[in-house]
Amino acid sequence: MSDDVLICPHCGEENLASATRCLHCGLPLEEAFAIDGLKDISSSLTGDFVKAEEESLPDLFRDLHEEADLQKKAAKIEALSSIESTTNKAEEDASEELEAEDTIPEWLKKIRQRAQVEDDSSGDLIKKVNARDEIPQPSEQSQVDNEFEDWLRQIRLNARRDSIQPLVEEPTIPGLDEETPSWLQKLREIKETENEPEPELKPQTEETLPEWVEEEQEHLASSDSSLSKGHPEHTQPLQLAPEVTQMPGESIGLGETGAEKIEIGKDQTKEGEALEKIIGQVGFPTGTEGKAFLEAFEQERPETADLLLLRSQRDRAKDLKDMVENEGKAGVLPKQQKAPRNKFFQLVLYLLVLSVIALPLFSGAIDTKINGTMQPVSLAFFDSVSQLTAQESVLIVIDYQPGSSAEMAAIFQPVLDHLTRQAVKKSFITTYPEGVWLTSQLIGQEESLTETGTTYLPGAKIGLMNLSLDTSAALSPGLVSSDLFGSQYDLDYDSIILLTDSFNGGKNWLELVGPFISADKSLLMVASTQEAAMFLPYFDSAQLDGLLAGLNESALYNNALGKSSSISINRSYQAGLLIMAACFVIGIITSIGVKERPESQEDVP
Amino acid sequence: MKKIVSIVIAISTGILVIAALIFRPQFNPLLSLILRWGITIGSMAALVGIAVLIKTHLQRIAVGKRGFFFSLIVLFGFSVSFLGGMLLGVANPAYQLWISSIQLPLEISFLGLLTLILTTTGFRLYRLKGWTPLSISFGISAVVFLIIAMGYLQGLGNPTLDRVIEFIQRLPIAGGRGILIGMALGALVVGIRVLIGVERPYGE
Repeated sequence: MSDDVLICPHCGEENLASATRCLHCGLPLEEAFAIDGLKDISSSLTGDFVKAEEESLPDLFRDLHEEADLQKKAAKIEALSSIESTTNKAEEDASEELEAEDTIPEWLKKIRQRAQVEDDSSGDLIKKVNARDEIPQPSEQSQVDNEFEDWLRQIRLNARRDSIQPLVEEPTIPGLDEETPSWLQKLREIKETENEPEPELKPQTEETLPEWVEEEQEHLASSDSSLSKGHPEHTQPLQLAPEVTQMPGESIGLGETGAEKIEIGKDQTKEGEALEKIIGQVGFPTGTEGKAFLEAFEQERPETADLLLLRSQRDRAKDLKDMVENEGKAGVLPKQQKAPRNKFFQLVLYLLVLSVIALPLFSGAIDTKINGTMQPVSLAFFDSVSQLTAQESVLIVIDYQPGSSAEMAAIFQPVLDHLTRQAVKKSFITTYPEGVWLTSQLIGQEESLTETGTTYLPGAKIGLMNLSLDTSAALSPGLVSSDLFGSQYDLDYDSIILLTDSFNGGKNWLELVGPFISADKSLLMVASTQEAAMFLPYFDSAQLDGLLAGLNESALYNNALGKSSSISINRSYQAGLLIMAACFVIGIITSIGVKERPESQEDVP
Repeated sequence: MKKIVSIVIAISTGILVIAALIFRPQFNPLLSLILRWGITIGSMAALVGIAVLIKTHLQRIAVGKRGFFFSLIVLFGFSVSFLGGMLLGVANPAYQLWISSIQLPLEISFLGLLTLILTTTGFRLYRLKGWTPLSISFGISAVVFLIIAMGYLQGLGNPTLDRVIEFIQRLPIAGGRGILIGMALGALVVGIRVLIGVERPYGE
């Protein structure tokens, strides 16, 4: 055994002085480190050798040995029993322990038995501390062995690196300085090594390489190629994304690098077979066993911290690149697939709506005689008007917008006829500026009406309050008929008929003017159908003496006067209501099976 | 200081109005005076609003802002209506024809549009909500009242049916009464808050 070279005792080949395993035959070189005069410990650790050696020990050593064992007996009975089954020495200890148990008094045995069943009296904190202390620490011998193994592994790696380094020139990287981060250096190294053609290095190093290094390189190359080629039968072309870069230590996969499109065909299959032969000669498993071994190696290989770090940086760089590229671009949302609609059903729906609209238009003005009896509120209205005599005066309040003037005029028309029949004196007042000409339209429908003038009451709600307090002061002098508003604090009339299309307008009159009306005078109201429900409570509480709401009640009122009602507006009004009802019904039918949407998805109409 | 003055005026005015309504014969002149002041101030506020409206549209026309043509129409209509009423008088038949020819179609169109919106909203209600107890009850009640309002059922002359219709038509009274009570309680609470200075609708 020389200082530079170590001769393998198995094959006789030369190895590095620091090598612990032969590079040629693979067998350990530990025999080279054997010290002359010492027996093989590994081969003599079992059997009767230990017993014989112990018997040959001096009495002093034996006593010391027994004393150390006695100290451990009390705490590790179970451990010693397990050791007993493995070594002869442990059997002796167990026998001694049994002998010692025989000598133990009965009370101590009971205490020990109870201690095995019950927990000790130590607290949790002490238990934790004890548990930490009881963690099995590696023995000094194993620590020394591990450190020795690490030391040998490091020496082996250094020797291999030193042997290859002078042969393979390290590529010079421009711009690589100390400030360059380590991860970037690694990336550049990988890039350079990928770009460098491998065959160019081989002729330069071929002559200077020793034989064992060449074999080692071939072995590595064969293993790399088998790794890179992968499954020979895999013939599908693979396309990798350009931005995907290979990390060091990462599996190359199926042999492609960068953005190349590699097709593995029959030529590669032949090369794979040749490589498999070489691998088999080296002693590496081939065929299905080799594939299984490689797959297991890929799965079980631990990923280093550098690899994880580089992979994370690669992913983040890719995300950053995507963000930069997509900056300022409009986001493309995935198109929502619309549910297929039934065309036939839509057609039926449209035809139904059109028929609902067209039917009243083409049906002509067919008179529909309204039969039945009036509601109590309408009857009360009729009775109040019927009680008016020829010399009494009535104040008619025009409190509706021009948009609803047609409906209001149609509803009020029978009442106007009734008032004319009763020959009462009619006066008009309005709270809207438009009421002046609306009154003119209303009066114009009745030729026999004796016009007494129209009064505009400004101030809306405040004007109504003022009217109830001081009639002459509330109204403009030029518009006030002196014979109508004679009293200062009381409206000089026998009845007030309010025509309104809004709840607020009627409420103001009922609540602001109504309390100042004497009990012997009536407050009547003509309203639209939709507002009737809000005024009925006032009738129930006797704040309102009568209510005529809607065209139907108006027709019944006309019937009560001995006339028939058939007006065109009634038909169009019915048509509108029919359309609305049809839409509701169609909406209900077509929404069968529609589930309620969450609040966030609701469309705001 | 301004804050205190406005609060004192508001509270004292409210107390005076309430006292005038309670002690009516004695406080009637004072209440009438306050109400006339209110009418005058309200009329002046309406004039200020009209002035601001005119100023805004004039600025649009001067700058040439997009849609200034509509501002021209507004100013033209306002000028003709204002000058016609001032010169001819509101009782003039030509002036009334002018006003009614503009206002009547506009309001009727708005009412028709409102009807269509309500109808389509009711139609879409089921698309959005589906069949829920609320939507179904709403739809059924709407259809029932629409059919009743058409008057066909009343024209049949069936006394039993008439009584049923009368009962159905009185059902909304409960809702109307509840709304009225709620409005009254709300007005009472707001009035008390204004009187004690907690609520200040007149600003700081």
